[in-house]
Parts: sequence; structure tokens; C-alpha cells
Amino acid sequence: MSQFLVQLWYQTQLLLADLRTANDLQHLAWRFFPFVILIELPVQAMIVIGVVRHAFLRAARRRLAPPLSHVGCIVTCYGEGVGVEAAIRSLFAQRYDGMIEIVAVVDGALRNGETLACAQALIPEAKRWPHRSLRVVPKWQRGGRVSSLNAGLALVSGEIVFTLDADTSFDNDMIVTGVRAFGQPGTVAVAGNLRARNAAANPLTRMQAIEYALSISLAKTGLARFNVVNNVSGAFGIFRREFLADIGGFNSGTAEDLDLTLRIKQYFARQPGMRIQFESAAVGHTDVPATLGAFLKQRLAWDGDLFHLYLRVHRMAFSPRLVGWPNFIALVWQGLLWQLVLPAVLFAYTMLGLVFQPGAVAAVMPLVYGYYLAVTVGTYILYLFAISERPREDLQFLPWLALYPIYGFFARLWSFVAILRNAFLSSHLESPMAPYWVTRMPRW
Amino acid sequence: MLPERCAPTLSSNLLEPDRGLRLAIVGSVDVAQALGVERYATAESALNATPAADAFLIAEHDPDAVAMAAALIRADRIAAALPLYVLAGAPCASALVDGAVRDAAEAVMLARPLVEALAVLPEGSDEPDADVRLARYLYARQSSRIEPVRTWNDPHGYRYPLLEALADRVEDVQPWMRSLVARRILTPVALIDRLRHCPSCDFAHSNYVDVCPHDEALDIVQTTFLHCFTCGNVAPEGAFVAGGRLQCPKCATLLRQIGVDYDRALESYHCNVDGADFAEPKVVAICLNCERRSAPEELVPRTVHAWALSEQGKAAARTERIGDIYALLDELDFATPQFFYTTLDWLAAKRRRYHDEEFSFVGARLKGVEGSAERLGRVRVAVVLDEVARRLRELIRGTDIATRTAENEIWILLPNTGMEGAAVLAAKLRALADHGDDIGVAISTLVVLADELADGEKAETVIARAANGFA
Repeated sequence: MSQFLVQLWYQTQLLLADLRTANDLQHLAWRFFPFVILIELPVQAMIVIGVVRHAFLRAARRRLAPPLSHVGCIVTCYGEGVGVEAAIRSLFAQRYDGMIEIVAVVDGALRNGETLACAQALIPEAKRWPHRSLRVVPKWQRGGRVSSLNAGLALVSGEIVFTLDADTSFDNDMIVTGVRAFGQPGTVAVAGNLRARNAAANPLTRMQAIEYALSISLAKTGLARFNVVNNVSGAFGIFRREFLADIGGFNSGTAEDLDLTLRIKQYFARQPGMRIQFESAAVGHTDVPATLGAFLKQRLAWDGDLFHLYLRVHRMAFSPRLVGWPNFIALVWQGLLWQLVLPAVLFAYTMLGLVFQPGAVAAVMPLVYGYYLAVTVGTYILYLFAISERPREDLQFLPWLALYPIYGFFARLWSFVAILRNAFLSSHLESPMAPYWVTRMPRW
Repeated sequence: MLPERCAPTLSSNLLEPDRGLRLAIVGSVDVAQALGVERYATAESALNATPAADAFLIAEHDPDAVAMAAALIRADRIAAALPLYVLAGAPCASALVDGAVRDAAEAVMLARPLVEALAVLPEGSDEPDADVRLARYLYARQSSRIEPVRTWNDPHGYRYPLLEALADRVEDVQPWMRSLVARRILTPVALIDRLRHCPSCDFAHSNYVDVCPHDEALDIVQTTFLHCFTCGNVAPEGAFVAGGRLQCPKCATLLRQIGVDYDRALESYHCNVDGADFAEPKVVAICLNCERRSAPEELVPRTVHAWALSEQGKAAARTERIGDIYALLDELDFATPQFFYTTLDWLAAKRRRYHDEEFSFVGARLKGVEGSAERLGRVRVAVVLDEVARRLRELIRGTDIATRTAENEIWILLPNTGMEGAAVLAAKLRALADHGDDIGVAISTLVVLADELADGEKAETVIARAANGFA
């Protein structure tokens, strides 16, 4: 213990000396967070530049009148029970004068009788709303989310199709803004913005709410300006129906949303005008895990799927000849380095440091924290000004930003666990989104 | 009327298929000829031919010509029930004809059983009335029904083409049918439809519209009221719309998510005429003929049936005694005379004991029915009598007791009613026969008051004594 304190004092002195002289910034950086400089900073910089460009263009875009095309909404339902009412009602209540055709696909309807009954009970209500139709499709045998999406895709008509989760409810301008995003030529898919509906439940949900704001609203807005959106979320994706049908709909297997995004991107080099947009004004509200157990389980699945999709299924996509140079760089930087390598580096640094130089780690931690806090506050303020459609509500998260770097740090460490687990245990086969006999069928 | 030549030769007909059956071909289309077939240019000439034809084949392709010839033949007093065919492929006036055939030989073959069935019936008068014609027609075609045909431009929504063809007067079809049913000549075989008729003009076509419950104005709109969760403001949706978005006009909160920021507090209607707001519009039925506005429950429900000849009707066809016109009155809820007498005795006894029981009774007798029937035919009289029975049903109150002591005589006992009330009823009863169409049927009435009863006199004797007083 005394040795640790001595070391801590020594390292702190060294650090302060470095900072005082500031003559060896490169040394400082290499010593404490080279990964930050190499991996994170470029991505963050790209996002910030993108968001700033977005902010300047936003006013001009607002003026475009939305075309009143017929839209289809595939609502994938499972065990949400009465929760489907909020999702479907929020679609009825859209401020959109065009036709909205809602197809609610209830997977495993035999088991999810309550969900089915709740959805069916809304059919008479649909008739009271002008230009809304609701069709409830029971899939008696459980076939997984992908089968629900593809079944819905086969049934729905309309130029634009929304794929939505039944546990998500939507702002009443979601469809207008979502459809408007297709006004930009070449757009084949639009990622919708997601917020944490239960943000106020506890500190963990607050952290996730901040994470959604930064890594979905802010990050995707920035990435979209360079046409390198990393993922069109399965809970809230918008597609040109014909295009989606042409590429064969969704593929079975885990993380069908990331899979689809990567498949679309593989047309980018050949179809230079093709775009995946992100629409921050199209807002869906979803419940985030409110317990640590559920949170860890969710991340175990998500981050494990990342490894599986990037390194097993779509290894061939990492080629500028398929996805084009911008996306190649983005995939390598944001996908491989940031999402897969960075957690490993972070984990290795922390573990090695704790074992060999605990004092040094302890001394560096406040600095690391300070850096991340600064980045968090800076980007969050940018988010508040440039993107947030509920700035007053989002302002209340400001004090909670102090906890966010710690949350982020542990989330990153956990991400490494998930990656390891998938690499060695093929955990994507345990996906909760589909029954076992479905997840083991695909080639991967 | 059917030829004697037909009846006695029945057995020989079985050996020689064509003998004795005269088929009249009406029209210009060429049909393979056969023995015993005569060709006529028009239906009139075919009907006037002697000896009369036993069956008809309309050899026309033009739908109007077919329909006109079929109607003429069915309207003929003598030929109404005879077999009638059209050419295969010709548009067929389905309700009036017995089928489509390829040639004359086939018509003769098909007509034979019908002619034989008709031959069994008594010849009857030279001028059988519509009742007899219908009974004969249906008797010869045991399985056939009188089918209603939905007709969009008919006031009743349905027409009975066969009855129209056989009826003396087309405008009498509905009352005639009612009287046939009341006299149990026709029996319902299938309920085809249930219509709601205007209580004023009996038209079956109404338009049902949502109107304001206060002033019955047509110009109502549905409005949705939104409820802002932030400030509790409830106002019509229009007040919240700002720049394509929803914003509370009171607290300026943007309402983005239904169920979280706001909800639809109520769906309501607004009348653009008197400005009233209401939750449920009223539904009124507007008659498309007389424009009377009725509540849906005020409309008169009427059923539309397909009819067949009843057993009684078959018997009537065989004997050509189409029942008694007075059977029309059978439908009314008459008490048995015995019950009537007992009640009358009891009222009289009560009055003797307590001196407070006032009552009276009215007698009514139908006159001139037989004479009119002789003169004008049973159907005309039956139609009038049916109307009398219908109105009589409306006249008798629930507290009155009515009985029928003879086929043309009814008595109505009126408790707690004195001279005045009884006289009013008597006047109304007399007016029953004042049908627009004066056919010589009249109703005479008399009023007996409680005071006129002699002590200890039995009700039966009272009635018999009173009946002598009919004018």
C-alpha cells in the first residue's frame, strides 16, 4: 500500500512536471492515451464537423414540403402486451395527411396472445382516423424478428416503409420528417432517431439516455453528412420499399439491422449517388434496460454481434471497391478500431497498468476522466444547440454528464468481454431475437 | 274451361303424344312445326282463336316483345293458367313463363302434364276472377312459388310480376296479396327481406343521415378535442395546429407524442348551423318520396315473402270456391262470443250491485258484401274488406272486448264508456267502409248503453234483441 502511494505521488509529480513544461506533448499523449489520439479523435472530429455542417443546412431543409406518399409501417410485435397500444396509437396520431398502412406482425402469436389481442382491439380505432389502416398479422409459430420483418414487407404497400418495434412509440411528426428525408435524391434508407423513454427511472437509464443522445442523435447526424451512417437501427428504420424488396429484404441471423446496413453499403462504390440518411427529427421513444443485469445482457448481445457481423459475416465488405473510400475509412476507423479494437486496447492498458503500475494508472485516471468529461460536455452542448428537438428536457441531463465518462469507461470494458465471448463462444447464436432453430440456420 | 276434348281423351293421349293438345306459336321467329301447332302473328290473335289453344310458345327474340306477349297471355281471363314457353336463348320473362324450349315438339311435351293437371279442375265460370286464375295457375304448377323481384324504382322495393300479370288491376296487387294471405289462400314459404317503410307514404326507400340532435341540421362535422398534459388545456384540435405541428395555445408546449404530451380527450360533433357540440349525432330516416323525417324506430317494418298455394288454396282451386270473403275478418283478435257474453253479464251484475259501472257496447254489421261480390268480383270486394279489417284493428282499444257473432256482425264492449264515447266509435266504424272506391259495401252500427239492459236479462238475449235493430 505504501509502495502504491509512493508510486502515485511520483507519477503525479511527473505528470504535473510534464504539464508544466508542456514541452513534450507527444510523450504525454503516447504515455496515457495514444488510442484516444489515434482512434477516437478523428471520429469525434468527423462527427463534430458533420454536425456543424448539418446545423447550417438544417434551416434550408425545413422548407421542403413533404411529398404525401403512401407509407407502410411494419410493427414487429412479440411479448409487449399492452405496450403495442402506445406504438400503434402513436402511428394513428401522426400529423401526416397521406395514407399510413400499419401492418402489425405478432411473432409467436400463440404464446403472445395478449399482444395479439391488444393489437386486434385497435382495429376499430383505426377506422376512426382518416387515412390510417391497421392490419394485424398473427404468426402463430415463432420465427424471429427477421421473419416478422420479411412477412410485413411482403404484405405492406406504399413507397416508403417504416420498420418499427412495438415497444417503441413515436413523435407525431415522425412520418413527415422521415418521409421528408427521402427528398434527397439517391436516399434508400433513413435511420430514425431514438430516445430513452424511461430516462428518469434511475442513474443507469439516465446514462443510457445521454449515450443515445451522443451516439445516436449526434454521432449519426455527423456521420450522415459524410454518408457513412454506421447502422440503421432495427427498432426504427425507414426504407424505400422497392429497394428493400429488391435486395431480398432482411437476412436471417442476428443483428439483421447492421447486416442490412452493411449490405446496402456494398452498393455504394457501384452506385455513387446512393445514400443512407439519418433524421434526428424523426423521433422514437424506447425503453432502455433499467437494471444492471438487463443492461449487461443487452450489451453482451449488441457488442458481440458487432464482432460477428464485422469480422465473420461481412469481412469482404472492408474494401473501398465495394463500399467506396469514405465508408471504407469509416468502417475501419469507426467499426473496427473504435468499436472492436479500442475496447481491447482500453482493457489491456487498464489491466496491465493495474497489475504493473497501479500508481501510474491512479494518477492518470483523473486526467483521463477530465479529458472525457470535457469531450462529453462539449459534444453534449453541441447536441443541445444543433440537434436536440427537446432542449429544455435535455438540459436536465447536464449534471449527470459528470458520471458519463465513468459509465462510458465501464461500458467499453464490458464491450471487450462481449467481443471475447462472441469470438470464442459464438454467442450470436443465443440471440434473444429469434428461436434457436432459426439463428443456427444461416451460413454464419 | 279446359276443353272437354282434353279430359276424356287423357288415356289416349298417353299413346299419341300430340293428339288433343293445341300449341299456339306467337311471333315471327321460325320454329320447327309439329302436328296440332298453329302460328299467330300476335298474342291477341292467338287468344281469340277458336278452338282455344292449350299452350303457348312465344317465338320472339326481342325482350320487350316477349314480355308484352307473356303479360297479355297471363292477363287473359281464360288463358291465364295455361302453359307458356319462350324460345331457348330468348330473354325470358322468367316469372311469367314456364320455361324455355328449343322447338314446338318440346313445348308440347312439357305442356302436357300442366294441361292434364288443369283438366282435372272444374270448368267454372266463363269469367273466372283473379283469385280463381291464380289458384288454377298455382295448382297446375304445384312446386311453383310467387317470388318477389327486387325493383329499385318500386315504392315497395319489391314487385310480384306474376300477381301483377294475373291481377284485375295492377294497383290492387298489394291489397289483393294481403287479402289472399288473410284468407289463407297463400302461405309464406320463404322470408326474402324485411324493409322499413315510411309511416306517412309507405315508401320503402329512406335515406339515413346523421344530424344534429338539437336542430336536426345536416351540416355537422366531427371535431377532436385534444388535452394538453402540461397545462390541462382541452380544446378542439384545430386550436392546437401551428405550422403543421401541434402546440398548446395556452402554454405553448409543443405536443409531440400522443399519450405522453397529450391525448385525444374526446371525439365530438359540432353543428355548423346552431353551433351545438354533442357526442352522438342523431340518425333520422328521410323518406325519398315524401321527405318526411322519421326516427328509425318510427318506420314501419314490413316483411317480403315468397308465397305458395296453401292446402286451403289447393282445395279452393279444386272446388273453385275461393273461400269466404269474411275470412278477412278472421285475422282480428276477436274474443269468443261466450267470453263476450260472460263479461257482459258480469259487468251488468256489477252495475246492478254497485250502480257505478258504466259501460256500453257497439254493434256493427257489414252490408252489401255479397251483392258487390256478385257484381264486381270477389277480388275487388276482398281488397276493400282487407282495408276495413286493417283499420278496424287500429280502432279497437286494448281495453275493449270485441267478438263476432255472425260472419258479417261484430260487437265491441266498451268498459267505462258512456253514450258519447260509444257514439264516436260507432261513427268511426261507419266511416270504415267509406273507401275511396265506392263499391256498395256499407257498415251499419248501433249503440247499446248499460241503462238499456233489462234486469236479469241474459247477455245473449240482449245481443239478439239488439241485432234486430240494425238498419
